[in-house]
Amino acid sequence: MPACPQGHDSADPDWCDVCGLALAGPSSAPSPSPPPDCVVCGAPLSGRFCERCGHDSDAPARATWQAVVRADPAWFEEVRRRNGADAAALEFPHHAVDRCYPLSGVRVAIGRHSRIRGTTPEIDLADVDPGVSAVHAVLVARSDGGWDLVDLGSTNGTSLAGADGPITAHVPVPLADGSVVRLGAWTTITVSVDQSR
Amino acid sequence: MTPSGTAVEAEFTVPARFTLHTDQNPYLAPGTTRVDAVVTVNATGGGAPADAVEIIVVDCSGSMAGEKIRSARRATAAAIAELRDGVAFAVIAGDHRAQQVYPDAGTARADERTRAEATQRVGLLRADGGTAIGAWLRAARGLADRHPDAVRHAILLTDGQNGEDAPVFTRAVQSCVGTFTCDCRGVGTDWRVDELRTVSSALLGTVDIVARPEDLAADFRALTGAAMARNVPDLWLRLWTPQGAVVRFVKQVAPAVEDLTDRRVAAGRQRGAYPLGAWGAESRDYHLCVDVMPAAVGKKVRAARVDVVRGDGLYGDDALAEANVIAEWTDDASRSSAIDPRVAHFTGQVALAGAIADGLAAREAGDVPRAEERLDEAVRLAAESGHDDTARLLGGVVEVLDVKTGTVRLRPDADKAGAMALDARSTRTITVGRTG
Repeated sequence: MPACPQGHDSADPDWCDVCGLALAGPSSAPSPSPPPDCVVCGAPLSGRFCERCGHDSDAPARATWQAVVRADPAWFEEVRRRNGADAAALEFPHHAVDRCYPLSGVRVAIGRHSRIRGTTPEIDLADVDPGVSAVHAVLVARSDGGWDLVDLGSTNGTSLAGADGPITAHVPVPLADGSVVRLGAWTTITVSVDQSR
Repeated sequence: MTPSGTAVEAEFTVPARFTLHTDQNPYLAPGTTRVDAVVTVNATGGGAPADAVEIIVVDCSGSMAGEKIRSARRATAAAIAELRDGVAFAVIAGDHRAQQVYPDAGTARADERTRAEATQRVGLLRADGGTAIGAWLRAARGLADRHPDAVRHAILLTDGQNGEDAPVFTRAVQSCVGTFTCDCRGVGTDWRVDELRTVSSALLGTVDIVARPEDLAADFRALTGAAMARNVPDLWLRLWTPQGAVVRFVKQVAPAVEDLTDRRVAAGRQRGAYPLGAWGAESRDYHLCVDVMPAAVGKKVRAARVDVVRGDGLYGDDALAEANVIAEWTDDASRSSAIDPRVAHFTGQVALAGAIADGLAAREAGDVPRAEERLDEAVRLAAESGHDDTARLLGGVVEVLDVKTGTVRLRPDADKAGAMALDARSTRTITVGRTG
């Protein structure tokens, strides 16, 4: 495959075997085409990061998703209403802060870290919610860039906000941008496209 | 020499290590194409001593009679005494033909007995007959051919002009190229510097005058020692240049000036190789000048890849060491106009050698104004570069009337030996250290 801009075949990666042209280094690089505009805010780019909105132009073009974990009082009330006595002993964590997990790879496990069971989920709710199973659910990347939710047979089940009962175990449920997953005693996970990138 | 023993052998087991270093200003002004660089080839370490052949050729023509032949006998004996055990050697007596003195045929391996026998035979050398340097060289070649893989070296001593026809002599010299290296020594003032330089230049050796016969022994001893210290028999400088480039010249510039341009041998696509002869732990400098295809400002090309290879690896891709010569076009005149100090120094040394050669030739031809003009230039160049040896020798041929303007006048009483020494040593250069 010709590596030299003049079209010569060169086994030497640094200098063309035929014409001697430097194949690497700043002076031999093709002059950069005029910088594009920022894909997010449209401002002209002068470098990798947009001067107006801070968008990273070198970041993968594919949308990045995130999962925001929070303790939701409304969901807690509903759990209490459904389970009565069992949930009465639970103390809602009023001072819990939201936690954000960028979604990457093909599988993002949701559960509790357990040395005994050997589980180390990416979204670890061990110290966050007593109602989450060690192996609870998993987010699976779809080929179109979105994510599916699969319940892995958790004890207390997983449901989606706005739906009636829990989702069927081991059946992928497609998530939309902004879907809210409910699980455990008070945890909701909002899965959405990360707008900050 | 060194006594044999384990300590000495351990020292020799370190492999020879070659390094190449390029000194150049890579920046070219827009539209220019000339790239100059000085490449230094250096070897350290030593490596195992190579098989060696030493051939001593002594002029035994009638003119050698008297003190000269006695000094030649002593010098040859000194060279024989210097031979390391196991080195193949032979002594040839030259007159109108070549007569083998020792051994009776072929070469002998140096040891206690052969050294003694050879020394005894050398003591019987008689001066009688003509001078046929070409025939002597052919005889030396016949002996060298028996040892194709060895470091092959000859010392040729003469005191007179060659009696052979020029074409016979030239053909003989050419037939020996690449088969052995030859250091030539002239004794007295009846020999011709240009004749011996033809031999030493073609056979990658040195030429010098030994004005005083009593100095001959020390000189022979030094030559023999230096030859045996070389352990890479056949080294080549190889040059890759880009398509469309023209190699203007390749010159050895240190320790002495030797133009190698016409000795190029094709060595694969876009590659040529130049013979450097045998090599030991030493350093030599080469000035390369290449014209490359012009390119736009900001472009950078490799104007040459220089490497050193053994003679049996001329077409291979394994080099002992390599270096790059770069060309980069810039519109910054302050960068493109600078001349690398070492390139400038050796350009001056080559000009000095040229001025001396021209001046002496004009002097010989009786063209006094031309001789004075060129030697005047030589005096200035020698002074500028601090070449004290050459400046001293020039002082024996011309009288410096005014150091500032550099006006010189030929000395009518110039010593002939002094002029020959200046001629023979005109190509020797001095080196300068690197500044950057």
